[in-house]
Amino acid sequence: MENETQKDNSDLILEIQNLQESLNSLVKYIDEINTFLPLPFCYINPLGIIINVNKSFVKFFEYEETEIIGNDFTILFKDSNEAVFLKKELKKINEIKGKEITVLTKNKVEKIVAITIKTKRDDEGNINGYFIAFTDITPLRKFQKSLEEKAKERTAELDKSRIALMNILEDVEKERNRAEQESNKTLAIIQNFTDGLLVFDKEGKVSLANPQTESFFKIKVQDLIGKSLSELEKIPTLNPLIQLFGREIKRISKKELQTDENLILEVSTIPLILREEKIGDLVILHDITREKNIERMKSEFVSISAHQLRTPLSAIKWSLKMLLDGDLGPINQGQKEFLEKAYASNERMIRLINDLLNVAKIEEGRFLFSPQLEDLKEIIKEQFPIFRELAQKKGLEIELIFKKDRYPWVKIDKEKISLVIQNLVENAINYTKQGKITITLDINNDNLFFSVKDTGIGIPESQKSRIFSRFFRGENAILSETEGTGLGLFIAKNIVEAHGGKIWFESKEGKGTTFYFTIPFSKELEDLIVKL
Amino acid sequence: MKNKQFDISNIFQDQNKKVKGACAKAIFNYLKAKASEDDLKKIKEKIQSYGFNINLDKISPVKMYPIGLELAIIFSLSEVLNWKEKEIKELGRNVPKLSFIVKFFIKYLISLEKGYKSSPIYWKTHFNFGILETPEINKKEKYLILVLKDFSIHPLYCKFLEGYFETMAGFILGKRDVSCNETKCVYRGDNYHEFKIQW
Repeated sequence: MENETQKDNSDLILEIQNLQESLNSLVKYIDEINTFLPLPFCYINPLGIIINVNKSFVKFFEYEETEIIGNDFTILFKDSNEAVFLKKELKKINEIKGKEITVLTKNKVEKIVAITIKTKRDDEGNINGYFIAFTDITPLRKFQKSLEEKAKERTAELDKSRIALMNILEDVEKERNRAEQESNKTLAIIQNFTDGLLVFDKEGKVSLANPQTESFFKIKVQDLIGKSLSELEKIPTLNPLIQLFGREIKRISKKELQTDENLILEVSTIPLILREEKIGDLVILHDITREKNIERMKSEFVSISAHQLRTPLSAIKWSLKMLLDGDLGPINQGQKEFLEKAYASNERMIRLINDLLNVAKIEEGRFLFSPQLEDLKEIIKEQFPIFRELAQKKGLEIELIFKKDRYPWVKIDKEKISLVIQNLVENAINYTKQGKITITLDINNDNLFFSVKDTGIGIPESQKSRIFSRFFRGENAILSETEGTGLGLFIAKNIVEAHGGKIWFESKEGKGTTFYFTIPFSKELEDLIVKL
Repeated sequence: MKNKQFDISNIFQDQNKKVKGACAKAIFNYLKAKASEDDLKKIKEKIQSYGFNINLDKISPVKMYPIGLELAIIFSLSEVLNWKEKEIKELGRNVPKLSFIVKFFIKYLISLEKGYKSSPIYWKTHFNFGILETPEINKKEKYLILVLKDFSIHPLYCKFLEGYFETMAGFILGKRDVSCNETKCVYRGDNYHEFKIQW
């Protein structure tokens, strides 16, 4: 019995020792887990008091175990309200997983964690406490935040860009509206313009035509749009205009075009240039029918009047001549002087009438030429004695210079060219009070080159552009010589140009003037004449 | 020093009065954080001089050790670090925080009543001598009384217990502003130790 008791006791002791060993191993195991586990965790009792923490917790929160154990766990949270709420929640729920919360370390460093809470219960289901694990998501949140900030920045940038774009679009819209208004305005002007307008694009096709053009050519605008010159040429009413252009639209200035009996157009073309690039051509069709009719009627009137006047003036001229020559009996000196004055006045009147008739013919296109091969040198020589006499009467020196011995013959209307020379030389004599008149004939390339130089009153700079206009006389010319008609240079210009020549002048007021004109000659003809 | 006024040799030699190694281990862990290497060495030497030739690192919290070892550690702190009652009480306050045995007792640390009523069991889990009683709890007046009988170690150990009870009371009260004072002591002529815990 005693032995049995001893055996039982020793068995019990052995069992206790085994249990102690097991417990010891378990404690060591738990201790090692506590040390090893990288996840910070703590254990709190139902009152919220921290009872236990692991090594990772100590490291994470920077508290010593002795500093933090015994504290209310809410000390760990940044937001006390959130901590209080969590404390209340703990009583109701069994588990919280991954709740994001901001905690504070001992050194008040904020860390964002996802907390996981697990309720610990005893066998009867009573709450013994809570395990709380903290997963540090600060780096994740920082990364997330930086991403969000970047996204925000990017969004802000995009927003700015959007606003800028909207502003640009708004500006563009305003500009477009303005351009549209301008375009409408321009279109309205074009539509209501009294001149016909035809716009060709750079491919030479019609891009715009106004109603006036429609009316001129009796064709619808839509039938013109997009058509090239060759296509337009096929439209009968447009044919004369296209003929004027030729193969392409060249620069034309105020060319007359009679499309039918009742329509005379003055055609001009202007190249349309945008930023130094030609973008097309503008054809302006100005209706000059009325002006032309008036001009024609005026010319007819002048022509008829002049003809009617010339006959009696001729009769007066010959009657006076007979009286002056004594064919009707002797006259005394006083009578002779009166008659001479009357004769001179009549001569001036005849000249004026002749000038007017010439102008009328020019304007009517009836200034017919009878060109024949002539030697200009001889024509000048024939006229020179009269010029010399006139010059000598005014006490002027006059010189005739032929630069060449021989000049090519030219096909000219002798009478008309004589009139040109007469007008130019007489002007030189009339408007020169003292000095010299120099008449020169030369050859320049394929032209006979005539000039008459004087030392007269000259032409004021401001009036030079109008010197070849009808009835124009320089102010200083009117003051110095009252007899001019203002038609001589107009007639001269028309005659020279009708011969294919050019006329121009150089002048300095108070110093003198030199008028030049050229008459082209044919080299082949000259060669032929020389051979014959 | 109080320890000099008492004959502690009997305690050091007493192999019957035992306590779980949890406290000794917790104290040693606390010292590792507080004392220098040199002081730790001196403390170990001092403990050895009291007759305890034991590797402190290898103390098991669940094994029973003679109460003399725990007292030898406390005395060595008094000798080497010149710790007085205040520091010893503070040590007592920190030991439950580091003690593994507290984890066994977690199921009791859930409320004032449960914790208070369970404290005798807790005592028995720790010590194989002495009786802890719970004669009074007054929630209205905010105090409770713990009575410890048949427990004569050393007055310095009473200070250690003051701190220890204070922290444990804090756990079950959910408060930090808790105080524990020994109101009766066998070394002051009383028949038992009485600790009054107020909050």
